[in-house]
Amino acid sequence: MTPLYMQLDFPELPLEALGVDYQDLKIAVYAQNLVVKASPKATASGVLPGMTLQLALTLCPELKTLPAAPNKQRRLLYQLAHWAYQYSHQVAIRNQGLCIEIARSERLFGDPNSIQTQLRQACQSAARPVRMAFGNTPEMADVFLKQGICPEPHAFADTLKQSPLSATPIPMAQLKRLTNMGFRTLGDYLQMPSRSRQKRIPESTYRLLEAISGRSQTLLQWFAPAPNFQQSLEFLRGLETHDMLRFPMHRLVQDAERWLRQRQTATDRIQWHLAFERGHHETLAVRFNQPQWQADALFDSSWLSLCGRTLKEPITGLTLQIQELVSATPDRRDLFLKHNDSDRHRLLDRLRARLGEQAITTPCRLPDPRPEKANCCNEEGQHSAVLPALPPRPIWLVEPPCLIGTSPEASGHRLLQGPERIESGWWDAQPVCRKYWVSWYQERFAWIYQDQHLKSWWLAGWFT
Amino acid sequence: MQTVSLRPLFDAGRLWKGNSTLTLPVTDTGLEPLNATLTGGGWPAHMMIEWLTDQPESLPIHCALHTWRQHQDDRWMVFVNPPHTPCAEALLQQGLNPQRIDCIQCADQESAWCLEQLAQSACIASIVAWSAGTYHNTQLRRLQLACQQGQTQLFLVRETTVRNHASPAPMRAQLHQDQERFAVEVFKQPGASAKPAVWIPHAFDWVHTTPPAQRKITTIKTLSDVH
Repeated sequence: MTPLYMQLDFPELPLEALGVDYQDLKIAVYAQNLVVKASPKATASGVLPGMTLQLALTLCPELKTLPAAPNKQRRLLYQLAHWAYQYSHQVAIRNQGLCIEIARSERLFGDPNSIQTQLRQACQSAARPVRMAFGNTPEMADVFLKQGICPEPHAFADTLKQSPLSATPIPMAQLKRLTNMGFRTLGDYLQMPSRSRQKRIPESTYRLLEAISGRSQTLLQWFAPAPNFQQSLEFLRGLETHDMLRFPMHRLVQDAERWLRQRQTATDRIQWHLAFERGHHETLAVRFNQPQWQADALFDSSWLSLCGRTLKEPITGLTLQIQELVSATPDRRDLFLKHNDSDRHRLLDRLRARLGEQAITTPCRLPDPRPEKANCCNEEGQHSAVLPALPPRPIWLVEPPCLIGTSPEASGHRLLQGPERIESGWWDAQPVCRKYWVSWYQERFAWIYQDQHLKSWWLAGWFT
Repeated sequence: MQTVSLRPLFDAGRLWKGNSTLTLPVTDTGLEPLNATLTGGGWPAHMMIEWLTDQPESLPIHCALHTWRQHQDDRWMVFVNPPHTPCAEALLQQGLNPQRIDCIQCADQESAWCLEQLAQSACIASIVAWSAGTYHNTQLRRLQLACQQGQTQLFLVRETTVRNHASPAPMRAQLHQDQERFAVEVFKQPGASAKPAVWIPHAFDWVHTTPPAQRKITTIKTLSDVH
């Protein structure tokens, strides 16, 4: 199968890497005192790429200038490569853009035009400007991209013949030399005999032109997706309220859902990293009762957890990280049940996210003779142990037990039933030696005990 | 002129006439005399029920356990802000499965939100909620709607001081007791007028009073140990 490449160029990448909200601000990115990229609002004020900073600030005094951040651009390209990976398994990061091999994607996504439409729509929905072009080699696509055209595969040869040599990335000195030799377009170069071309043109230029004409293939280093999910959004203007974070969080969980779905995995915990304006960071860990992969489930708990936190200062960066993955399993559905498992898991996730991890417990009976150890309010809901029948126990346990005094009668308790002697716990250095009684106290049944070492009486529980 | 039919609301049990026969889904209270006074013969299964009492530690749980024993399915029961820790052994002795009972502790300002989430959920059958805070009528109305939506029963334990305040809860009852019996006075319920209090004797049969001699021996022993 003949490879077909699609080159994607993101013209606003330097700005986007610094903050997703660049379109709302007058901002310019500079390198070596020259403007590299200006936001649409700054451009409207007269700021153009190539301008010196002094001139740009004279034209637009309220212009915010920031140095170019190659690291952030690389990180953003890496995220975009993750996104493009859903359309092809061969994605490469090159020339501050992406190169995708799409010939093998036709069965899934349709012909090249259909793939192009899908990619363009996805970029539009993310408000991300993009330019695209096809080519039999990435270099050929570059030439079309530079001219701002996107010919279909059957028109590659004709379009290439009409393309000026100035559209190629040949160094200026070499270009001048080729022009002096009578080459104006790539068509002039292509109609020349092969041996003559090789003889008259320097080696590096010859190889580049051969690649552009599709006669030789350049090896690309294909992108390998990371085993874990990590995506960030940066904000030029700090986000001060919880509501302002809603949209960026939505965007990240939707990306996470796509990432998890492609791998048929789910996660039972995610981590949010919040970067604040003054430079410090906070982590927000969200745990799920059951592994989740749907954006709604990931968002709900995250949002409720976030709302429980006070934002002390504006947030300038938001990162979502998923490290622990498990295989996704479909919901168990039963025809005869009114609800399914996921209802309960979603409910518990929401409650825990807002009320705290320890807010929900399930009473559980453990095989320990000491009442306070036997009754374990376990959040995991362990199975209750099978134990021999015990005398009646109170429905409420007073924790910790409340001191009555040295005589129950003096405190108003009338002993009714007992004693039940419990002497145990020698193995964990918390031994007890007690005699338990059911007593009548202020028109209620109480469960009290006498500590056989201290000789004091304690209230342990209430019967209904 | 446009005519609006109230029939769908009647059919759905959201609107009712006083002293009319209603077919509400109910749960058996587990107490025969009480069933006789309630519309449909039990606590409404998908509604909010207010229990007003000065003994929040004993009477609400007593009534709830009687009801829950009669009506256990694959859904969960929940205690919200219980006054003490529930004892798993006691729940088993009462014939309930502790693994189907959740216990939630939340701040007063979160309790309305928490109850709405629980009431809306299809996996919760019944809730008993204790709260020291006050609820606005809007919150109570939302809770009632959530109960209808999630088909959940919510027993809201409140102080007796709110008895004279209007409430959107379709059923309200006051619980009180004396030495030998307790009373349930239903003063608001769907499809019926207020009823006099139903007195139910306490079940003391499980207590076997220790002979006085044995108690005395224990007390004497204790005193001798102290000296």
